[in-house]
Amino acid sequence: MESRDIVARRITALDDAEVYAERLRARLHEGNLEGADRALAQLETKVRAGEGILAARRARLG
Amino acid sequence: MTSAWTDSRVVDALDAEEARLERLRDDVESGRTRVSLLRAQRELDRVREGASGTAEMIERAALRDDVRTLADAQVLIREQRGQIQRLEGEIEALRAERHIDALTGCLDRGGFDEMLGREWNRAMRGRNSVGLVFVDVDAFKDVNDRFGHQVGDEALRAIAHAIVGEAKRSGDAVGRYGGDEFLVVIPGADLPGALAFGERVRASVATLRLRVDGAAVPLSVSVGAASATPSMRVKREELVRRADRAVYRAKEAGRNRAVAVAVEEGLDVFYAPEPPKAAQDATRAQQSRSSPRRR
Repeated sequence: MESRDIVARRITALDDAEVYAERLRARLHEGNLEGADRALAQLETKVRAGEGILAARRARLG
Repeated sequence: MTSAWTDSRVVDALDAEEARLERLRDDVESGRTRVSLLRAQRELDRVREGASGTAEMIERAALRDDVRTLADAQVLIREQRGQIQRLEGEIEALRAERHIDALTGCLDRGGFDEMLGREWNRAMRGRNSVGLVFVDVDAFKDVNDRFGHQVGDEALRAIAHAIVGEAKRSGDAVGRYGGDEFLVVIPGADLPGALAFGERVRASVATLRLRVDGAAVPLSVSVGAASATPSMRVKREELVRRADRAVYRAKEAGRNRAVAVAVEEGLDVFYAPEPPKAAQDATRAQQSRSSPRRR
């Protein structure tokens, strides 16, 4: 039961990814290439982490 | 019994995370394209600036009969023209691949329809709402007629920039739907949320200042907002039609305003945004000051 609750929690890596997605939009809107590049790299990292966590949770659920 | 309920709750939660992940993957894809576009545009600006310097060098060398400099500069400008051509081709290919409108940088109609379709399907799976905002430029024909099409293009670029500036969250997408019409999809937005977004867009455009030869170009937009949860009864085309009807109502009511529409018992019910609290307080204060005189 407890582990199911853990599996059902929001994935914090995706919360972080949403923050970087928002930052990426803001930097692109400003025309700030360097800032956009950095935000994109962070977004990609967090999305990959989110993919791994989601796959692990699905596997745990069976 | 409890276990079955818990399992479905967990599956729903994982499906919601999957939908979030899908949307973020879209953000990565479009982010990569837009970063590449920005980089290519920067490079293009740099090469163009260099080419204009080289052209001046050629002119000066020709005046001085400086044959050697002239020959070097001609080689240089051929290289620069080649670079310009390559970069322009790169930019065009990136835009075409991701359905990006060349004038405004928003999605073109095809790209927007695809994006709306994806959001609609995600919302259907997750039983979430989709907000849609229709933005129509007021009296755009007059702007074109009075100031010319170049100024009209500049106005559209400025308005698109203002709309994109409000579409901040992951999944928000802006499309140029027609000449002077834009659509924005806001995943998860209910009707008040879509209307609040529309009002922010309207207010942001109202602050734009574009001047031509000392004359101010009047810029404003009428905005229609709608929201729906996908079902067998409500298709995404119906959502677009609702937002369109709300824009029509905003135009009828005098333009430069945002209106939302809800369908209740088969009838359209229109809503206007709440005025900001400061404006409400000011109105109340004015009313209380003027009430003794009315009596």
